[in-house]
Amino acid sequence: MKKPDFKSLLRWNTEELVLIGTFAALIKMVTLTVSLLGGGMNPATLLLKNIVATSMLVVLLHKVPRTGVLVLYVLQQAIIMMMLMGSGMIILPGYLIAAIIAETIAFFVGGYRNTFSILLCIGFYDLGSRIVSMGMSWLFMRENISLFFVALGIVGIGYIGCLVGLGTGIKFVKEFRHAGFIRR
Amino acid sequence: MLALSGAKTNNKRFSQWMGNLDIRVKVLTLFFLSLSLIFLKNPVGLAFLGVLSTVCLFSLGKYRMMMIIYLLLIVTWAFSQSLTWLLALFIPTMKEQTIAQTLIPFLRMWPLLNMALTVSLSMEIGNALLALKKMRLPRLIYLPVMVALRFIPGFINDIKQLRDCLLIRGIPLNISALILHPNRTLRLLIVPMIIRALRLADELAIAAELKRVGYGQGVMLEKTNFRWADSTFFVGAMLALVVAWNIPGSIVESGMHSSIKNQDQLQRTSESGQQ
Repeated sequence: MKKPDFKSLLRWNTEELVLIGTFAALIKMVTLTVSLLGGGMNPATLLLKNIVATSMLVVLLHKVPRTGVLVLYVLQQAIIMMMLMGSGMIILPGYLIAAIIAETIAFFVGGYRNTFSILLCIGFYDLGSRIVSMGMSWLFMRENISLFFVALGIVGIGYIGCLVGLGTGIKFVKEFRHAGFIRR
Repeated sequence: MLALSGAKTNNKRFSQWMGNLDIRVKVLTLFFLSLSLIFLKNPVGLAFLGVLSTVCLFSLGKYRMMMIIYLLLIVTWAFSQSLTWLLALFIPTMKEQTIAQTLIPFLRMWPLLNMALTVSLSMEIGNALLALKKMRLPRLIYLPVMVALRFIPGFINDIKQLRDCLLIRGIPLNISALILHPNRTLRLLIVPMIIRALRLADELAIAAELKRVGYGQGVMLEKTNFRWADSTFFVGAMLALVVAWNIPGSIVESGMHSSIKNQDQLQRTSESGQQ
């Protein structure tokens, strides 16, 4: 197995950083648009929103296939969330840990050159981040278990959307590869 | 979002004090508030923080938005309470759930929502970027955030153009279109957005490389000092947290079995009283 080059984790070229920033904003905006068009928190909107977000994450990881991209993306998302909605700081450490675990799994499965490991990485990250979200929901709603069950249902539907999104993400990647936007 | 869309700024003097505070102070206050709200169980303390944070949000002058959000919060609480009663029909232990227990999560959300809205609505994007620069964050964090925040307003325009295009072709964009034709929505709305973003990212990357953005050259930063107003606000907020923790009041136990515990305790105290 190739030895990990830890110094390269901190060396990013401008194109990669700009792409990560653009996608972080794009995913936030598109999910917000879908939520607004869909009329809020109904299961269909929830499903579609997560399908779209995961598909775009699959595209991003194909476009910038290198270790650390997911961690950087999570960090950007948290900062954008904090600036737009003032939230997301408390949950950030949990999300970062989920992203690091997912990246480690992807690294051991074969790295980002392999589509399967990208899907595995995103699948694990989505699962990990949802577990963290549920933990946070429990902390905030521990006095009212029924509300926690509602949150559990919402997160469950969201994760189904994520799993579907992995499939649609691959479809998107094929289309973009055909159009010449993804060159590998 | 209002901060980004170039919405009208409130010119009333009363509403300016929150906007003039240093963004780092507001974010730090929000962080400590959310951290302490997780562990705070006293409804009186939570209500105290709720009232104080309402004053902060009130000072921004967004009364209509406040009303809508509070109404939503009340509706959600009513929904949660009715769900608890519904579940109690099937799960006997749910009958032990008291109204105070249903109310606590909402009391916890109240100050958090107020403060989060205060931070986001009183923030101007230019100042936020300047604050990020002043924090001397590494290039790999600062550059994508700068791109993302600058990208959003332009992207909102692109979304509007896409919507107009679809409307010209006779394709409506509403909830029924989303539910009945999700595949069509993905193809006609999401794919063009991604293509637009990819092209824009390429252009931005070239421009950034040419201008050497993010390499530590260019804009000279002014020295960053907190003003007395920032320090006063932060100290006041921390004092309010200390007061909320120490304010006398009842502590509501978590979970369904808490009221059983409470009943046991009541029984024990009454027994000891009789003895």
